[in-house]
Amino acid sequence: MTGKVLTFYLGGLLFGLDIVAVKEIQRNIEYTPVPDSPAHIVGLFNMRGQVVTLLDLAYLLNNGKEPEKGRAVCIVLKPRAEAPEHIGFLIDRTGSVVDIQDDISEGPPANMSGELTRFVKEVVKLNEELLMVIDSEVIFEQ
Amino acid sequence: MQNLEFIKEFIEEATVHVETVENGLLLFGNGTNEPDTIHGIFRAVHSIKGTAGFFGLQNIIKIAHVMENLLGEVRNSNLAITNDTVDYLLAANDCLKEMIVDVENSDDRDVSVHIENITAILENRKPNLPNEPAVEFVVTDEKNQEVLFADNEKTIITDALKHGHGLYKIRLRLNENVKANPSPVMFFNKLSSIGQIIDSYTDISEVGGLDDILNADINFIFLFTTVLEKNLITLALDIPEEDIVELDINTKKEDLAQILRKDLDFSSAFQKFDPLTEPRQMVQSSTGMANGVMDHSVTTEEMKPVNSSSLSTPLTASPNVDDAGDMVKKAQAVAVDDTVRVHVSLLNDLLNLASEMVLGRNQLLRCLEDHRKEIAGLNSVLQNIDNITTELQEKIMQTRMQPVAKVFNKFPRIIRELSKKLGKDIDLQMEGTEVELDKSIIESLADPLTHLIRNAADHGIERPEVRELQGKSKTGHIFLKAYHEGGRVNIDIIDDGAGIKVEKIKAKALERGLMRAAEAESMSEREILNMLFQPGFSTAEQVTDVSGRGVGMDVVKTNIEKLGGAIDIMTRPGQGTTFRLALPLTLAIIPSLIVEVAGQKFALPQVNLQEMVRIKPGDPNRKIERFQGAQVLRLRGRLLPIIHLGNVLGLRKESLDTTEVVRVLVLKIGTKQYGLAVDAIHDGEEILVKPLPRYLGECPCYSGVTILGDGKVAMILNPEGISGKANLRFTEEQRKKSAEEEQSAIESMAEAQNLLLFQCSGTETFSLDLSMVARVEPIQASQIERIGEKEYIQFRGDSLRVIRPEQYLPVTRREGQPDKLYVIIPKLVKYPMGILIHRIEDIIQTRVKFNQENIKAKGLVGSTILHNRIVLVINIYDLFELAAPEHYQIHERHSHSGNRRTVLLVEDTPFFAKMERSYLEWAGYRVLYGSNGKEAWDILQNSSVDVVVSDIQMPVMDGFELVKRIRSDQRLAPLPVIALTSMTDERSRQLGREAGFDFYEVKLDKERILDRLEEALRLRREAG
Amino acid sequence: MKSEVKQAKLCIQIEKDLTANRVKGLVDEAKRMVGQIDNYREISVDLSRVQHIDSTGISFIIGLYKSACSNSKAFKLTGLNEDIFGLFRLMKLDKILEIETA
Repeated sequence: MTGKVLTFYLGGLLFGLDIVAVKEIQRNIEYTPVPDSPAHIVGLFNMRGQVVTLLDLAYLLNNGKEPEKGRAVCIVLKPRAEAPEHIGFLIDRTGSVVDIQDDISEGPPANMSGELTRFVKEVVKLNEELLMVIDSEVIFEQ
Repeated sequence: MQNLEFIKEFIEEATVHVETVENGLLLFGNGTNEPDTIHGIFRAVHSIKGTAGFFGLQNIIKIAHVMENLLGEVRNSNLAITNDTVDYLLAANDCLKEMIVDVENSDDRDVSVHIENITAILENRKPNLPNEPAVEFVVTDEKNQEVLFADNEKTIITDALKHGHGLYKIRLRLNENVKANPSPVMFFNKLSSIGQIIDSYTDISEVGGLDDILNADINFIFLFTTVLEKNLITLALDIPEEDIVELDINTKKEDLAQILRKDLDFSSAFQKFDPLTEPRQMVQSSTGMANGVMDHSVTTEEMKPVNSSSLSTPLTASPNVDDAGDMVKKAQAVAVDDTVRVHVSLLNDLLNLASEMVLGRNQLLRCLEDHRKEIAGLNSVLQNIDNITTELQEKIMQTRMQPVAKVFNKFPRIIRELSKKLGKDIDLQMEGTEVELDKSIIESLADPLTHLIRNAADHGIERPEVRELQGKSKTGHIFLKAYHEGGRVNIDIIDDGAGIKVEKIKAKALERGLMRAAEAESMSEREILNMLFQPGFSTAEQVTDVSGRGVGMDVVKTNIEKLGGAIDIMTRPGQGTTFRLALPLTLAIIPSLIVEVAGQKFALPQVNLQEMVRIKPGDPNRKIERFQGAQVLRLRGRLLPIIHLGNVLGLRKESLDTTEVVRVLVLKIGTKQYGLAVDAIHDGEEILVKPLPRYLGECPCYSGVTILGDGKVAMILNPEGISGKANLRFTEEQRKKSAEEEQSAIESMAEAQNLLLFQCSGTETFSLDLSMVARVEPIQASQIERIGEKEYIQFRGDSLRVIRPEQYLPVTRREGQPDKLYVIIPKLVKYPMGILIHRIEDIIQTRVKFNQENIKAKGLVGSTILHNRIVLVINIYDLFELAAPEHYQIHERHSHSGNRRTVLLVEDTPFFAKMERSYLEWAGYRVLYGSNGKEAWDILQNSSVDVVVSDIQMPVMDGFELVKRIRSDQRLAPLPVIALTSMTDERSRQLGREAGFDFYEVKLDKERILDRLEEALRLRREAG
Repeated sequence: MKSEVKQAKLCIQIEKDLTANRVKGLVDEAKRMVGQIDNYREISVDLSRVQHIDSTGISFIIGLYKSACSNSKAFKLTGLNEDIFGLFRLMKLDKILEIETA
């Protein structure tokens, strides 16, 4: 793809999300857990009167590590037209916004593991590290 | 064509219609041939045609027209629908769909193939009915002016109404209204393109002769049905709105003719018809003209050519189309619509933001509370923001309000159809259709109301011959009425039918095993009536397809209660039945109780809450027992299953710890009852209900989410789902038991209290027993004077101190006050003060059951649940003492007066018992308690008692009987007995003394009663 | 507008259209014709040359009819084209006026 990608760290890995899909970043949120709900639900929080459902992206990506506790930073996605409810997911910390071009990105490598392939749309070859760009559509399907 | 707003509306509406058509046609493809389906398709196509006609969308009209013709034949069973037919119709519908999406260019398309295809099907059919219906005549009867419509006219009306058309009486002034059009012929063409004339009458009385013709006008008055709303008719025809009268679609056909001619009565030229005048002469007078119309028979056939010709060759004249555009433009300038269409989701967003703003305001007020005095002017700014925020929220809530007419309007049709079906003559009257309720309530009201209306028609109203026999009018009446009462909206469904026979219900309930014969004997009429709401109850002698369709009254009741409402029945045999629905104005906000488990807060809707029980470890009367792995609580002789919310939600593993205080909420869903244990119970809170985010999937334990006062999200608990999740299985026996239990609980408390419910600045609802209220006076905020810390008002020429309960009680307090307040003037107090309140909520008669889990505070007797919300009962003596301790210091001398002596308190009303007990214990007495004379007598047999304080009016054994027994018992005779009563007249005192009471005192005068107690004890000691 | 009386019948022939502009010019003439009450017992109005009629035109016809009535004369319309006849029928004027159809 070509465009701006918001990068963030989750479980020690660098991920990216097309900036077009991001509504905003919320820091220091106080969320309410929802007992007896699916495992990938972290809880709900109040964003200016809107209830945002927080997903556990780390769990969905099955990368084992829990997000760092204590500082709840989350990315809220732009709601889709057909489903006006907001969703977001916890991250460890935000990175930066990078411009990417087609020539530095490609599809996920064939040997990438399990759940990740479902979510990772493409891999961007940055200078120091590899950035996994997540498909926000897949997140909405959860 | 220029009017985008209307076009947009048309597209929205038509899109829905083409979908209806498509889905319906697909059903036919599957071989289904339900009359409902064909009617639905027909209606949808018809509506498209009607509105398209208004905009002059030729192609859409053409296709819709042939589709309608074909569907009409199918509907009338003149044509069998084949797969080919369905295919052609689907293709035509697809074409319609495309044209609707691209309305602007719709007329450029070639639609002839669809029209040919469908016309071909129509032409190939073999006519199995004569093409032309027999010509019938309107029959006029001069004497009662009753005009009977020909059958085909009836069909037009019935058909039109079936299609959701409106019925209008329109008065057209030929010169004034038609001038703008090229010719009357054109005008009438336009008229028939948007609807159908049912009957008409031309009033030429204004034209007296040739001299008048340039200034006099001809009035053409006609009954008209169309899909268009009134405002659109004014636009389409350019007729002033006041000349269009929308008729109640329930109007009887016979009345229509009269309505049409009513104009004549107003016309000055009209003279009463004189039957003696020779007919020929009559024609020469204007009166004759009127009769001319009536004498002659008019056939609908005569009007048809105009209609059908304009439909089959629709509006080809281009000036006419331009005209429609012009007309819209012009009319827009004239009739400026002062409403704006807003999407509901936008309103919901506004509502969200407003409640956020309320939160923000609260935080702001808290933060700045300490600086109010430091910063000059801050106080008034804060108060202003406070008021505006509250008002903003209220106004936004109002935007969701809709008139009940939205639901009511479908009933005339239902009643018409029912009367036909049932062979009954039923007249439906509606009142208060303008009363508004929240949109969501309006929407959920349709089913329960329809059920009740059907019931009234089916079971309530008798057959005409039965009615006649009973001396009633042949026509049965159903009256549907909405009105405001005490902050709620009541909807009454009143019929003047047979009424509900209590005996019949009793018999049925016994037969169905809903109660036992012995119980039936002791049940009040009202309790028996309530059996109607039991699941699986139907009183109809035979189950008809009208109402006995498996949807019982229990469902109605459940649905109404889901909305936070209540339902009540009043009936008089032979005279009729009234069902009363009491509904909250808004649904989005519900009273809830905040509970806590594992450190997390949840909101529990108070509608399901029955009572709160607090179980102390080691309390022999109230303990949780373990039984077969389940935990149960004995509550009033019944086993109540107890589950812990933490266990259900998986927040804790360990089972209930009974060595600590356990707080149990007794919840009731229909007839099911269970106890839900929680870690802590917080305050009640009015919460704004938001739907459960769909990303959560199936979470049966919750019914929604809300944002609490602290800004955090909380889940709203769903008692039904929780019981399912916890695998609670209720047997029929248990359900029955729970119903019985409830009744016996009510019976055991014979004396009902009248409570005044009110609110102060906070959210809590308070109550005060009416027996302690002298009067309630409305006052203006400006009348309150401040002297030092205290506030006073002028009352009957004296200054009376007023107090605000929220200043002394542990309840919420908000700054600011409305301009209009109320002062409660109490009675039976020594040092009267007025209680300043913001709002009177209601006065209700009830039997108070106090909650075990008490909101313990000085100034409150306790809490109870009324109308599904927690109500705090004020202890007026405590409150006054808190407000004016100086008056009550004198009490201190009583504080040890009791000296551990034993008082037997006999009182049947829990409220009074609780208050009296509290000050007797405060004074140092040991209190034994009996709830009636009999219980007291039993206690006296086994316990040693120093003095008896007894109520007079009590069930089982009253106070007189008790004191007589004491006096005639050798051992007990010297016992001092004090009567406490609310009957203070001299005659009662006399009776009391004769019966053997030592003293006769008014209830609740704490100080006097304590004085009397001491005096009585002293006198007896001296005597002894 | 032409008129002649034959066999006690006042025949009025309306030329061209019966619209507001033209009606203004016809009123006085019509009054004069109708006013000679002794000449006839019946008025017959021929509309066969009338293509269009507007509301004032209708008023004119009604006016003529009313005049006939007040003079106790019979009144008849003839030669209506299809449109105009349809209109009169829709307005139920055919129940008030005698209309001779072709």
